[in-house]
Amino acid sequence: MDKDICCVCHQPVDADAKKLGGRTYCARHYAKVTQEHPGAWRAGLGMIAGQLGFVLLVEILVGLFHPTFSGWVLIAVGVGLALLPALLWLAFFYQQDRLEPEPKGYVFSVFILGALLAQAVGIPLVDRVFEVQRWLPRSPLGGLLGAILVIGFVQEFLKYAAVRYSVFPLPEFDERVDGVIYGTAAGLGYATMLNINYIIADGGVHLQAGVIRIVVTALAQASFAGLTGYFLGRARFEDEPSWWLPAGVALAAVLNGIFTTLRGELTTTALDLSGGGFNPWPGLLLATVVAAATFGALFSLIRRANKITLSGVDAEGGAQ
Amino acid sequence: MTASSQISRRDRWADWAVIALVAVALLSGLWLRETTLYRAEDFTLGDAGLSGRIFTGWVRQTGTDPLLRARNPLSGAFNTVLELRSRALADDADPALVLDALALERAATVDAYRTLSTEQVRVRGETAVQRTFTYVMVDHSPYMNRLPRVVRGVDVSLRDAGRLIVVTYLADSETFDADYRYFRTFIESLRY
Amino acid sequence: MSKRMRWLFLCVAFLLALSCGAPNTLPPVTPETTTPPKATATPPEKPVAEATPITEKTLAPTTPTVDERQIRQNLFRATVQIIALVKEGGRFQPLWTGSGSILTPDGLILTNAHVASDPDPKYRPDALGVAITVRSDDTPELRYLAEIRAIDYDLDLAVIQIVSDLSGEAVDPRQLGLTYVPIGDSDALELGDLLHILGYPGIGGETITFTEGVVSGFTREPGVEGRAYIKTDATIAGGNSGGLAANLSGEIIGVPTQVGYGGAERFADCRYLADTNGDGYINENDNCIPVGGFINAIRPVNLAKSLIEAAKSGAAVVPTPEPSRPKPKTSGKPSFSSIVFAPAVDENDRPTMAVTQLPSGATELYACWEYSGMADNLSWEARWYLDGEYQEDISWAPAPWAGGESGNWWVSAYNENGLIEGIYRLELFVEGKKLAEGSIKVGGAATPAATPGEGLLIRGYVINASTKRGIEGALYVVLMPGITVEDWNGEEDQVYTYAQTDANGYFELPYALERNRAYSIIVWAEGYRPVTGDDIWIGDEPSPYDVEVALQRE
Repeated sequence: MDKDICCVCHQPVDADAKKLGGRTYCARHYAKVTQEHPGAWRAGLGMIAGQLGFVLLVEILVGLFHPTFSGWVLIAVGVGLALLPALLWLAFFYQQDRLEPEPKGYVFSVFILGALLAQAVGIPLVDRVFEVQRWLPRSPLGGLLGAILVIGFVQEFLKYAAVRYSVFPLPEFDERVDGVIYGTAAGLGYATMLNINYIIADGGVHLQAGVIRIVVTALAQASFAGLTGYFLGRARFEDEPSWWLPAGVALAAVLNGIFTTLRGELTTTALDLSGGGFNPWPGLLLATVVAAATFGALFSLIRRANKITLSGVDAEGGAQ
Repeated sequence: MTASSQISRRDRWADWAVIALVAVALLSGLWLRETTLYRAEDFTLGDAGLSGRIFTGWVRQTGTDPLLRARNPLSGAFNTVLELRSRALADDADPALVLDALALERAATVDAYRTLSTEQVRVRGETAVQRTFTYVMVDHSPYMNRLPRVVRGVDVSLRDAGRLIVVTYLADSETFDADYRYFRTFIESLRY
Repeated sequence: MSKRMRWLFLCVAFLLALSCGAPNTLPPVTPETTTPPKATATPPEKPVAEATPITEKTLAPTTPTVDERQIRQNLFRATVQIIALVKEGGRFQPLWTGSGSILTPDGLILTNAHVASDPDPKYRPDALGVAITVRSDDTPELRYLAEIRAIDYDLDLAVIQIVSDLSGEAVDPRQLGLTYVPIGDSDALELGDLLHILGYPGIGGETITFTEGVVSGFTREPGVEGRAYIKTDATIAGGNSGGLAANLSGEIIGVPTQVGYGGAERFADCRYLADTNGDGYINENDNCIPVGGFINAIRPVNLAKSLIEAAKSGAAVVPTPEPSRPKPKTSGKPSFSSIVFAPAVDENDRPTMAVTQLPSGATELYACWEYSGMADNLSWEARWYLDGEYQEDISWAPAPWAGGESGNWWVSAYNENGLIEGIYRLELFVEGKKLAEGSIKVGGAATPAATPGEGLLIRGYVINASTKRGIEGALYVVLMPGITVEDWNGEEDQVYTYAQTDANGYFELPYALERNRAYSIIVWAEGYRPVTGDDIWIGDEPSPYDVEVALQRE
């Protein structure tokens, strides 16, 4: 605390170094914090639009050709579809991220970490220890609470951990936007694992309903993890009170739980004489709205913060 | 190395706060699970002078024999069942008389009925006679294709003045252990 | 990658390895080895459209609101395929096939003598397999083995009885609950009357077929009193021989019979269809399975009535050695057969016809049954209930039995002003133990279908919304009218009826829902979100009604 070092690269800095939110920065990293990263946002937008297009494409193809896959072929096709949302985003991101690009290895590693945590910890915990499928459907209020407390917190904590305990302290985590980027990567990794389990668990799913479920999961997980990543980003670069990070994780968990419950309600249609009971499309609509709103909000928040910093309103640093 | 010394106390607290919060949330989730799965409501069988707590969401039927039959509609192909019966028995007579009669009645209606064991157990502070049995539930309907299911059951007999109260637990052999807790909780809740 | 990341990876990879040890991450993939689920992505098909019966209403007698489709449904279920089996090398092989009609819920079946057996012992089958149609668009399922109870080669009629399942384990006939056809009066037919003919034309992959025809004439035969054959203009494939010819009310009035068939003749027109000797080749060393031929003659059912009674009473025309010692007084357990209700009994105390419903104004109701293992002076009791209320004046209070060890018995309900309408239930007790019970409805339009045809029978599939495969053990619950899903407090009394799905996700509600009423329905399965509906109106949808409910995993 006595000798000032840059909070990012941990190199010593001069006495007139810039400060931001109570933290010291070297000149280079001070500039980086506020770096606009349009590539990331375009990738996010592209992902949302791309996933919607992907769903429509699959629906049309299946509707036209009525492929009848079965057995291993069906599972393979399903797994391929499950991998697509993540690959879409990664492809978008790598392509857009040309100016001062993030180390691609790191982004991919966080993605894999999210997936591994999902498979090793998240899914077994939710399905086998808590056995949510046994008691969540029993009552609407209990279902919502359970969705938040169990599903929400487990998922969001693991995605948080995938970022927090890997790239967060490293110097490569040097822009406000990095929080959202790595958060999204972890979220997509988690979602991909959830989707692969979904495909395999029943021995292959019907493609029409399956692809919608895949995209809904990917969009939702990416959004909430991106939110957590935003909180992490702020915590990295500014002094925040100690309740800041827990609040972030909690907010993401609550939103996750509400989303899960709401999606269940919207996709379960009322029974009529000829049957029914299920319509996947409202789920897709909800997920798209949530993703667009979340990323939109995060985008404007970060942009605004960057602008404020750049305009030198920050009292602690010297005038720009 | 130098990184850790730069992490302020607040940041460290933040880390632990997240973990603590998640732990609290998960524990609450566990509590919620317990209460939802095992939520029960009171019931009274005035004529028989019996009361207790039966689980919410279970489909119930009261009658003369059994006095109460509750089944869990969400337990899979064979619904876990709890039954309550009261049979007159002299205070010095052997509960086996009633349990044997019950076994005969059951064997006439189900397939491959076998009694597995009879033992003394402690229930509610007193000794009771427990009989375990098994049978196969087969659907004889020519129009349905149901997998036969192996059912395991337990009869526990509790003594009361002039009668024997028999509590029966029937479950698919695969869910028998998982649902056993319902049986225990139900017996403990009985008042007569 | 930094050291920290590597360390993290190792930890997580280790945890992953641990969790993979747990089951059901890779599930049993069920490709072609298991029976394909019967659920399809499109809603289940309705039965093949038949030629529209144009002037049916004018030809039909006095039945006003006859639910024709319901009657046809019962006919599908009551027509079975009979496969004559011969044991070769320890395995059963098909010899020939034909059709049959189920006459009682206990599994008594009427067919041709040449379907059940052969006058030449050289060609007799070792067993008779009975295959039942569950859904009209599925091939029949081979489920039971049957034995001949009565056979007449001159009339070419036989009555067989289901005795065991395919493994040879005896079945309790009273537990079968099969759909059956009531017996009609073939002498009441007239030229031009419409007939429904059902049967199974061939072996392997063919579903039940339905042909409509008109009575085009009658023939006589020396030695046969009255009508020997009913001729029809319909062309019926040979496999239908032994099957069901029914009138518009859904009663059996004859047995389509392939004339002059049997013995060596049978195999003249045959094909090698299956590798019956198991040598890996289909050639002339295998059984030649008779195919083809056409029928247009129907044996009237009145000619079969004495055979049927003989079969029911156990006096088989295939003689069994009489026990030389008189049987001891109390031999074995007293047992009663299923109760058959009839409007009258003949001079042999046998029901004139089996009905499940009597029209309003009927003055007499007879309940008949077979008994065995009884002994005089055993205490027996007959309790009648009308709509659940005990009717003391027509019931028999406990009294000593005087009917001997075995035979047939009946009790009746009589009211010279017409029996009070409602559901009559009879319970029979011996020594305080209930041995048989049965119900019949008096009143309402006479619909002599095998099951009450007025309401709506719901059946169908409950499937997983993602995989579109059936869910086993799901519950389809219909609540009493007036009770909503919210109101339901879990009492079984508030449930009108319910059914549980089988391994294919298929269910059938056991009781019909009354029409012009609204019901609440809940569908449940473990691990899935429940689906409910209130105020579901039952109008005049055709019965049975096929549904498909999709549930999504939680």
